[in-house]
Amino acid sequence: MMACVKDNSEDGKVWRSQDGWHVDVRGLQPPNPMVAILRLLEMPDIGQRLVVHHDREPFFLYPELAERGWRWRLVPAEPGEVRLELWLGDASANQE
Amino acid sequence: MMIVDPSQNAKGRLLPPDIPFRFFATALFFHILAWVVLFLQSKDAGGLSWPMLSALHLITLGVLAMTAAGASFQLLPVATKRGVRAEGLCRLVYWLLVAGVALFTGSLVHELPGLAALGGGLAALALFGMAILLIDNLMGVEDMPVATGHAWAAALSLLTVEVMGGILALNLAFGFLENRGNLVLAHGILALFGFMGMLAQGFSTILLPMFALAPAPSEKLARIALFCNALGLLCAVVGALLEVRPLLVAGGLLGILGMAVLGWSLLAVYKKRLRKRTGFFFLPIWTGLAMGPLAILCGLAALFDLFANAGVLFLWVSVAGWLLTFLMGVLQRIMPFLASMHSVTAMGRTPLLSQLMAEGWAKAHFALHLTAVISVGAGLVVESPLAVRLGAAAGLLGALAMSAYGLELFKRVRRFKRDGI
Repeated sequence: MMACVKDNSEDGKVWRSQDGWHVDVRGLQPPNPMVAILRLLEMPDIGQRLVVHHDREPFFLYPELAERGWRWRLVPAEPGEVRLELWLGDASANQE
Repeated sequence: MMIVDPSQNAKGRLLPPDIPFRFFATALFFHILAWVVLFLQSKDAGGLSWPMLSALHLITLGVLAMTAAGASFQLLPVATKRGVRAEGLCRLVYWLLVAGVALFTGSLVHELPGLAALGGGLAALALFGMAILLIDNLMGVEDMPVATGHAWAAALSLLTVEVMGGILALNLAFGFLENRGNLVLAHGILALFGFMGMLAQGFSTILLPMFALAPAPSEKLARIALFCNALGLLCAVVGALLEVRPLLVAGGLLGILGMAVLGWSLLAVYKKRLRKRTGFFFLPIWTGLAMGPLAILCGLAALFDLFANAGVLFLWVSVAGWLLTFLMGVLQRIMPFLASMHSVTAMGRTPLLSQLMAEGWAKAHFALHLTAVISVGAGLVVESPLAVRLGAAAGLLGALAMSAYGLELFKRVRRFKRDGI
């Protein structure tokens, strides 16, 4: 099952598949990818996991994710794509 | 086919942290030194005396160019997805720039033209290396037309500034120019509004929305701003070289228009920001941006002799009011970002931005810096060495506060790495 929720030049393409929510921010002008991802993380029904399809490693996103208690890791992707898996970690993990 | 090792796709990796941070730390040192020179030499601060030139170049080359080099080496590859191909050249640029700035500004204080020419030459070589790295990174980048357009204008301005600066440095030693005034003015306009100004405005289209978590500014407005700024720059430089006042006026008006359009587009996206509480850190950035048009107005006042010493005020507001205020504001935000990114542990933990930023030192710096800009500016206009000295003292305390901000950041990162807090 795959349902596209949003597809525009500011927020990218957002859809939900069997493994959870995905956002494709490839081709967006910086810093729109970062804003789109963080905006999505603020949505109440996004759950605890999000897969990001990016065209570059979003270094500046990481401190913002940490600030919100989210963790990330790079996962295998097609050539030319940087794919990240984000999950809501224990917010206190950063303060341990 | 899926790439099994995900890092193979993550192009545009970060440089080793010692590269950007060595530029930033040295910029903070030259920042202190600039105010010390101005404080000690304030009796000679009227007009473009050699000590005044030394203080100005400590800011322009020692602080602005040094910070711009560190920031662009690190940020441009992240934005363009093209890694820096010659890390060694980054380090060479650093050492040449440090040696060049130290020799050039020290020789100016002691009025040693031969050594000043040598120092200027070393600094020129460093900036040439920087221009090569910038151009190499920008070649073939097709997305991000606004930011890269500004960066191209900055890189081409830098190459031209190189030639002009080299001639002026040689003229210090050999005195072959009959009228160096035109070249000094063109060099100043191109260095401040071409090289530094374009870089600052280009980066601001990405960094400001990023700090506020706002969308990118309107590409149409940003293109209009770039066009106005570039055309204005061309008019002003040609007008300065050929002594054509209408061209200089047209350049100034186009520059004001370009800055106003860019400022408007940034303000528009700032209102749509995701981060509702931006805290103190935007105040220096907005203040710096607002002083850009003010600096040009001072320049126009100088063209029409509206008040005494308007030309020196133009230079001061451009360097200390506009660029230095803006850049220090950006540095206060960008240093914690980079420190956080470079401190990710094997367990995927990173220090929080909010824990790295020592806001008290940043506030102290801004209050003292603003006092210094106003007091020195007033002192230059009314030719009061006391006002310049008092302003320089405030600036020196502000620079020390800024260094304390950087030092506190370093201590907090080290504590995180050691204790995990």
